[in-house]
Amino acid sequence: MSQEFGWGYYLREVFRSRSGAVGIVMLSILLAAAVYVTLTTPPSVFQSWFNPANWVNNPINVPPTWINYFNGGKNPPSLQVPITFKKIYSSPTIYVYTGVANFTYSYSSYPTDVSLYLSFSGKISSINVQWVKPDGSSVNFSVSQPTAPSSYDAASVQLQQGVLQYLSKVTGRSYTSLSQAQVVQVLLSPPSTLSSNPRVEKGVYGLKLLVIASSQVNFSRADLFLKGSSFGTMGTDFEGRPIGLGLLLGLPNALEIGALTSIASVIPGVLYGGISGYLGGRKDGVMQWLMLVFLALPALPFLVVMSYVLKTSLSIELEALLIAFLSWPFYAIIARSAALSIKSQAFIEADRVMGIPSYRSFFTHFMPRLIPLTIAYTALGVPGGIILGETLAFLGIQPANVVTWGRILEDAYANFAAVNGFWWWVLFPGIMIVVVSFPFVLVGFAIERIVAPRVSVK
Amino acid sequence: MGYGRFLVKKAISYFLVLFATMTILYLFTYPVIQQVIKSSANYIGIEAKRTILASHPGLPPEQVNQEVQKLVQDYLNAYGVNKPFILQYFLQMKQLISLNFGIAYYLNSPSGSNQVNQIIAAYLPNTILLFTTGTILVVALGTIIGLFAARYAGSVWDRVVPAIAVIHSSLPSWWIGFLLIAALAYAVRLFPPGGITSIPPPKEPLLYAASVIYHMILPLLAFMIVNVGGFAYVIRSIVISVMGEDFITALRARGMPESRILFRHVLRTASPAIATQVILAITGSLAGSLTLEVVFLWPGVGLLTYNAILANDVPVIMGVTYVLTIVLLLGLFLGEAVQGLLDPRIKVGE
Amino acid sequence: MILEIRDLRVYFPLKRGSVKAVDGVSMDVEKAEIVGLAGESGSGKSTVGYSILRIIPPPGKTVGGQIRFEGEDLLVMPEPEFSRRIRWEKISMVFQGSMSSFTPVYTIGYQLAETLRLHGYEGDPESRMVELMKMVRLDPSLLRKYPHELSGGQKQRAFIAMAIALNPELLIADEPTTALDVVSQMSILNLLKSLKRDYGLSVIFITHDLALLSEIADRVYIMYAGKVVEGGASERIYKTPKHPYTKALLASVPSIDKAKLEGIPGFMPDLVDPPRGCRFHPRCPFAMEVCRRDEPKVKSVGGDQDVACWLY
Repeated sequence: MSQEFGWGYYLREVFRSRSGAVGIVMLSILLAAAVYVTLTTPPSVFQSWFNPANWVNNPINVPPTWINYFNGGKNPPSLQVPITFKKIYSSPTIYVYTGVANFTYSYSSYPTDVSLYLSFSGKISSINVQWVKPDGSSVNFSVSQPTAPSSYDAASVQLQQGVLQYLSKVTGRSYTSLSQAQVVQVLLSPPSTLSSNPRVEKGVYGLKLLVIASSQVNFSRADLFLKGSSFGTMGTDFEGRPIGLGLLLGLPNALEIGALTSIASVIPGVLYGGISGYLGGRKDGVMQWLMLVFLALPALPFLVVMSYVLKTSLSIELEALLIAFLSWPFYAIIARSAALSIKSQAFIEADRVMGIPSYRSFFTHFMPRLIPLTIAYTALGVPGGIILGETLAFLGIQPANVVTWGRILEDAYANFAAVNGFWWWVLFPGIMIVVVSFPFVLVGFAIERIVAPRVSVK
Repeated sequence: MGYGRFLVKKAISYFLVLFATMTILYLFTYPVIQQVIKSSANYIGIEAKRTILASHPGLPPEQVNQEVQKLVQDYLNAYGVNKPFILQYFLQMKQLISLNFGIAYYLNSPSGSNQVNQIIAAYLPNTILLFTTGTILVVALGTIIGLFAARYAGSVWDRVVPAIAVIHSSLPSWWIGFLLIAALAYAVRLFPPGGITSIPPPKEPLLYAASVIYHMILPLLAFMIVNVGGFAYVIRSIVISVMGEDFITALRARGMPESRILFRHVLRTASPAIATQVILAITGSLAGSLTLEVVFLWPGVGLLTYNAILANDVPVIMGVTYVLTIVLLLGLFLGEAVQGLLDPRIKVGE
Repeated sequence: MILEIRDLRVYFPLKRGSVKAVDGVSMDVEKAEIVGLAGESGSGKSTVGYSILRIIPPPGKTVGGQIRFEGEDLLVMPEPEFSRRIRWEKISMVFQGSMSSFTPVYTIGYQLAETLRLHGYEGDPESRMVELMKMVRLDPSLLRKYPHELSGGQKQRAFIAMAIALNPELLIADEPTTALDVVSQMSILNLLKSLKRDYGLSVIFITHDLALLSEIADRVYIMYAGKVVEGGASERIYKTPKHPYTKALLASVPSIDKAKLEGIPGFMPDLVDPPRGCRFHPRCPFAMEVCRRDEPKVKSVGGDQDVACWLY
């Protein structure tokens, strides 16, 4: 009975099995995506995840935009309207600019927020903002001595004042304060409906700004945001960060920790188990005892404690090493059982009879037979590493300044996403974990079935 | 006769393992341990000062401080602080093995104690309840599924098991728990979203037990969804391997009905290998179970650890690690004891 | 005659084709007779044995022929009836690889008692087991032991004890002495001979070892590539072998006075696509034109000896 264990044979066999082929295809796509993300995204994008200022213009806790296909447009996406500026007057001490923006609002629900975002260089004394509604009436408010960058939304004092004035003018009643949602309603409803049943006024809206400055002003960024109640392909979290981006940024880390953990635990584990099975007798017994010592260490608490011992210096590599430190016995046990069954096959005896020294036989004949098993479990070990890594991140144990899906899920947990029904926040990160683990498991199972180490009942 | 001796040998072996594992833990957590000792000593000093001042109000401050200093020093000496390492190792290991983990920084037990071992003692039973129940269910269900998959190997039903196993191996249990809560506790109000009993807990023992069971359903479901598939797959492999052995053909030749072959002979022969898998399953699913506690607000040591992480309460985290190590070892010892019981080759000795 | 096999065909459907393991085999077994079934590995001899008890490992299936036992065709008997009346009660089997014929987790006694109970034995199982152990010359105290505590020879005898527990008429022994030491081999052979003599047991002894058969068999059938090529009274086969394959087999048996080992050149044919005509013709030193074309039929060459060869 010939036993081929060449690499080419196993690769072909894996492709032959349907699940193996699917797995490999998925793996390639994932790897390509991860490499692409790592290479093309500058580190600043990764870091931007942690800076709330970057996301201030996104709606928070909103579902993905495609949900509108299912609920008839109840969650309008966000609008970003650029404002164009023109210098209309300049003298050595006074500079005047006008800004103009127009947009059409055609959704039947209100946006969650309206905000004006300005980023500029120079000294501005005052800005007068005029919000023109389709019916012609306008809401005015002004801002003095703005800093750069500035953002004025429905919660800001200046806009509130302007809206209150407008409201009393149009309805004849005066109010003391308004909620954010009410401010938005006032801005986007026809005046006649305001006192009773406000509804959205669809139509063309305009924005006019009058900027008075004491120096030359350069507007690097000026936008009007109507934050809808949906965003992106996967929605946003409590800081307005797009979940989709978070998942993409977390991909290289997840793969890295999975791969490192797997390699660091499978290879030593298989070596250890192989040697233990090969040696047999008392040495095997001692080695097994040592395996038990490591097996008995509970992974999660140990890793948590170690993160405290190491304090801030927890890197992905170190985390992977620690996980591997506890995981290798699993693979040693499997490898040992396989080694025992290999040992029972006669050719080892044949080697000994032929006078080949046992260590040489070990490396040339014995260990290579464990290679397919090693490959299978290297693949199977990756999801374990990924899941454990994300689990730790979920509990708060992770390298600093790294985007992980576990952390995203922890934010979801801490912000009661389940209670509030922010399903996208919970579903998509988890699905990513599954999607990434799945092909590894497929490939691993496919290889394992081919290798099929006789699970020794002896 | 043989089994008794086997047990004793195993017990000794496990004691050695316990010792070795604790030593490794100790070496790795050494700096944290010293920290905890010092802060506990500090705390003792403060408490002592308060007690002394309360009972002897007239005492001059220097005398009070002297007394306090003496107490603190005694405490530190008991732990061998500022002594050579070997002494430290023995003294501190002695404390650890007698389950003395010092004073928690912030957390308290439900009864108000801030001794780490008492805090853990309050939460540990809940973890054991959830985890043991879950493991038993997984093993029972997984064995049945694996057995039948092996019996009908090659048929349509058999294809299902590897498929399920693949999916299950890619799921984090706590995420499933999250989804279950969102779906079955909030979207459809079928199950409680967390906790161990309803609030306030029912007084009558039967109702109390029922409430606990009701609250266990979702976490157990999450636990099983994630762990049954892989376990069933391994059992299937083992059973298929056993069914290919010669003695099975001999049994058929003897006219034995398939069902009897399967349950009396195959299962029994496969039991030792299955027991090994149970041991592996226990160690492998513990992390997921602890995290499940967090998601379900199940008052076990997993949730305790999470709260300790949030509060930076290192003594508690340390204590949990040591306690779980001991518990895990106990579980593994039981597993090996059962394995020895089932396998006559071990019982009688080869 | 207690067993007549006529034109038995057993095929194993594989992906690349159907392996014709047994392709038209006929043989007879008389009462109190030890019949040898000899051939190389892969000749189909073990499969014949398995097919009698209907325990051919899947995907193999019997696709043709008859096996008449005491007048009834075993192959058409409904399974429950076969299992109840025939298996182990009338016909039983002893396997090669005696190492693992017993379930490793139960004692010998437990398994013996289980078999007795299964078939509704009416007497006292305890005394019957002791009696059986004595019949196979084993110490009854071994009943309390586990299989791994017995030596290879002891296990084989114990299994024989279990095989004759219900007084079957026919015992199929598939390579029962392979992997045993020579001393144990002889004692098993003697045991079988005494069982035949004292209890009228018939045995089909399947082996590749012709030398062994010469010690024990009354009649011998030689199989090659799924077919019987020669059969008859043991002395005739050994003294005057007719088929070239038989001759080559006998010549290859090592003996003290032979200087060199002789093998048979060539390989066993592929049973999915066997050679046309006589299956042995590629390796036969006497192959003729007709041998390549047509399959020879079994013909009697006198004095209880039949051959399937164009030479006759």
